[in-house]
Amino acid sequence: MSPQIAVLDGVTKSYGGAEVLHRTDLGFDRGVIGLLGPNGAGKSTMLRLLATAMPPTSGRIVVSDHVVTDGSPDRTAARRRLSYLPQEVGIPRRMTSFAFLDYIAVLKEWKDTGARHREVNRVLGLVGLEDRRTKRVSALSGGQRRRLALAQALMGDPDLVVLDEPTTGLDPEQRASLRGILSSYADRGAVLLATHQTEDVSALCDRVIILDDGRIRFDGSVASLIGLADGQVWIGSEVNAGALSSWRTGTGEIRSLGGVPAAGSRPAEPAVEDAYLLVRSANLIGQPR
Amino acid sequence: MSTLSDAELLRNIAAGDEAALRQLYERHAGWLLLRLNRRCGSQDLVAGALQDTFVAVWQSAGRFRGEGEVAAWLWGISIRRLISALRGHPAADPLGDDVVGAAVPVVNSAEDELLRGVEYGDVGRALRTLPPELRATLQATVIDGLTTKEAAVLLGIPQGTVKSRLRVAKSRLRDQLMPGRTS
Amino acid sequence: MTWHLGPELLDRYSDGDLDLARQSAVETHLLACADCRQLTSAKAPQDLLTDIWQGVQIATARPRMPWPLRLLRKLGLAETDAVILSASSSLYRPWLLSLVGAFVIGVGGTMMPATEQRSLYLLFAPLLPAITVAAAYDATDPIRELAAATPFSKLRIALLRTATVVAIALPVVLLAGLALPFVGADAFAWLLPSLTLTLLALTLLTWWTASVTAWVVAVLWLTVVGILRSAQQLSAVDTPFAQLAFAVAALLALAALAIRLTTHHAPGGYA
Ligand SMILES: [Zn+2]
Repeated sequence: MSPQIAVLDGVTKSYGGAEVLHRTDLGFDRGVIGLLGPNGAGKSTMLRLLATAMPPTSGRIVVSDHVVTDGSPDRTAARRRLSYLPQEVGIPRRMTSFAFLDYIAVLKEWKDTGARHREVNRVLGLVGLEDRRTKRVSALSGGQRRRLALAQALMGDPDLVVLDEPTTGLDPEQRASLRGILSSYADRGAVLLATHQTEDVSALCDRVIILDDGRIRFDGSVASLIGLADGQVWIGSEVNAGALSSWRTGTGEIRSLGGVPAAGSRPAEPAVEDAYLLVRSANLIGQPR
Repeated sequence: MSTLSDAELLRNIAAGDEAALRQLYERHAGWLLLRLNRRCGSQDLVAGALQDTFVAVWQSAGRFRGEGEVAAWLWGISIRRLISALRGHPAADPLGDDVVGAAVPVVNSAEDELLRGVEYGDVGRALRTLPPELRATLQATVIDGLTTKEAAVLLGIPQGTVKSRLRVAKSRLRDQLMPGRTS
Repeated sequence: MTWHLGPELLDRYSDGDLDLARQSAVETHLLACADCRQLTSAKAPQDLLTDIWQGVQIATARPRMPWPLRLLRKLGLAETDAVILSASSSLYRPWLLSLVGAFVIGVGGTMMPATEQRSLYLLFAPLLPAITVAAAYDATDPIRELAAATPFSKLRIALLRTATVVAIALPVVLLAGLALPFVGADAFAWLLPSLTLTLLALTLLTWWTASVTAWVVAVLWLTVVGILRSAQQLSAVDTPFAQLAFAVAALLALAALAIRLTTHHAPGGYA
């Protein structure tokens, strides 16, 4: 087995005594890995740790064969191989789009001016902001600012791309184009993204990790996640007794997740969202809370 | 898609619209590149001049006065950018025989009255009787609308030579096209 | 227009093998006919056009450096360092802050009773470099987390910013002190306290944001000046003993900063 691109080895993170990420062991290979979980589950913490934006309380983190928890030189070496989109990026408002990316490119050690400017121009095009190069950040819409923040994470040829909710604020077309971009990065490295959009996961991810309360609740392929909900989704004229969730579909029938199948209802094809809700409720696989 | 006129695009560019600059580039960069290629053999200088042209358009689109063709205005900028690039490279290849031609003048100076309203064919035939250096001088000044100083840079010859060649070329043309007329 | 460019004429024009008269006829026609321009443009090498367009995009968007940075570039400042400095606006802001500070001291000082002039000067002069260093960090604080995950040396950023700030603020405050008649012997007394406060600010920046740091340093110094003043000991600032005390404090602050740096903390965040 080839060495993994990123590894968490017994990693914990606490803030003022409260553990937000419990002892975690994970390894990441090439491909797109989706991180699902409710707010406060520890997704952002895990991504920050992997992106070397903060140190873990204990444990060992390895990125591209550099042990980032060993010391500054290794961390710097790892940072040359990764890129990171934080959940919130307050881009200085007086900067232009181009100037912001130019600054980040300098921080990413693009030393040659010509090559750096071409790279900035390339990622501006990738996120569809080629006609907003000279605009100040204050003149951009919320979605455009988000895409600008995303653009810096697409610079260069990183082994590890860490994205905290990259699809927030994107319209369906932009989301589709981002999926295309991310799959091209996943051919060369690991793309790790936290999201609330289960459609992103089913459309894009080779692997899903569900985090809750700082612990891993599920780790496997999308197919095996959906498999958990096999036989749990029903469509009929009545709500299942004890259903985890239910709603009226576009055809006027009731779709129920879990519970006792109501009379006359028939099984339906489960989706990632069904499996996610089941894992969250933990009543199917019975994991200890 | 909107189909704005060139002048409208320039107005939007002056207001900072980058998409308008892209549209203008898509419309005009191609033919400008080919025409610049007919004036200078160095691909680098031509590419640089074309880039400078659109950078200049971005910075000073508001200075287009809305009279005349945008295409002619763009050509005026780009040929002058090429000339300033040539100034920085005095050894760059001067124009040879192959870039000489003839057509209706695009400048309205009185002394070019001569070439007005004449059928292309006549001028062409007349021009072909001129030696290459005279044709090149005529093209630079009459077709491209350059001053004698600018033409001197483009052709790589002293300004005084441009003036004298121009004088000779015009009087020969006059004799051929309008033999009956006295100057 | 009675005629347009046919396919053969277009090909020959773009290949450059038209006879001279026709070439000019084509060019004259192109100036007047948008349809034929479009057909001609399609003959141009599209790869080259894409390259040139990229050049146009970069040249129009590339941020223009302020003239002091262009001057520093000529004096040998690396281009990437100049980008770092212009992103934090750490040239014009310290300049402005120092000038405003010097102005406040000058104008305020002349309007105050003689006994207060000294506390005014001792309050503002040492604070200016420390506050301006913090201000240089303020511009980039919103992207702290993003910047932390990049390989560029955080120490280098800190040194660049501090060096430029000190190089600008120091002469301004010093000249103001020498020029103002009421400052007199204090014109140099502020240097060591200022060094202490600047090092302290850099150390605090390894924990806190720029605005918090600036306030903490300012309030701290205000308290020190206030205590000295109420004890009628302001004149003690330029005694050898006080200067020695400031030197010791500066060394302590330097040691604290060094410890923070070796434990992977730098001004502005995780190193
Ligand atoms: Zn035509």
